[in-house]
Amino acid sequence: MSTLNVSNITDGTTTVGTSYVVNGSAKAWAAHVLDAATSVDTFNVSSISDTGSGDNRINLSNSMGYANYSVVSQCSAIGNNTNPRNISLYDAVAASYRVYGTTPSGGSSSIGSHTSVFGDLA
Amino acid sequence: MTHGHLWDRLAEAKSRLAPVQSKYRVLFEDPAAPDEPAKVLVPDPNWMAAALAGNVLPPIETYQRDRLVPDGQPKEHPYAEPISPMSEEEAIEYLVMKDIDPSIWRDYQGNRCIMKIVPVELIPSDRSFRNAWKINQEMEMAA
Repeated sequence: MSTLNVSNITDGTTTVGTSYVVNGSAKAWAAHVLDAATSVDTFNVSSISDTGSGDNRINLSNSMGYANYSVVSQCSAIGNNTNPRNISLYDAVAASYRVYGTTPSGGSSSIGSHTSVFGDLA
Repeated sequence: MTHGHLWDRLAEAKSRLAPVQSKYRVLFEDPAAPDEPAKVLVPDPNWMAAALAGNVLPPIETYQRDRLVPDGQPKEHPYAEPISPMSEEEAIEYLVMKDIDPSIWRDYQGNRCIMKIVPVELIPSDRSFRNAWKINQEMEMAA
């Protein structure tokens, strides 16, 4: 296996730091449970606020440049549970975003939240 | 600039440092939304590891100044020189100032206690009435 050891990649016009490629293109991600905001693993997250049943705010260490970034989200079951569930994004600002997990009966903390943030960093 | 971008330092720190689970939580209420339940701020373990190790996070003042900078304008905190290691208690205070609105930790003039830093053991494990949680005005949190 060969290794390229370079600081930047360029196409002749635009140059980008290799770290942006090596570390992945998502600027932040978080995998956590909505019950007590306990994180499974994260990147570029400073804290998670448990703001209510199924309701969490994810605070970013390095803010995004503006609030109109993209968050890709996925929910998962806690345990061997096949009940329908959903996760919604709302109240996004440059420094944080909020997720709300629901089942047909309403807000639920028994949901795993998996979110990835794409966009421009501050 | 020799210290690089904050995002790069966070990536490097995550690859090098083991996560640290904090023994503290921050309970807070929003005085502008008195009907909302108490909130619980949980420090991120990767962030806490970076705070304790030092030379990763920017000064808290840069975040505070950046609160006033409109979206799309250059921010200070990603490019600021990193600070030295913090104790866990200092890191919690840093997080309060970074991730909780100043209207709660700085500007509130009322006589109700709307923020407490507590050991994680004081957070109720029974979430049956999670949306009714309020900060107990004596010692512990009560649902």
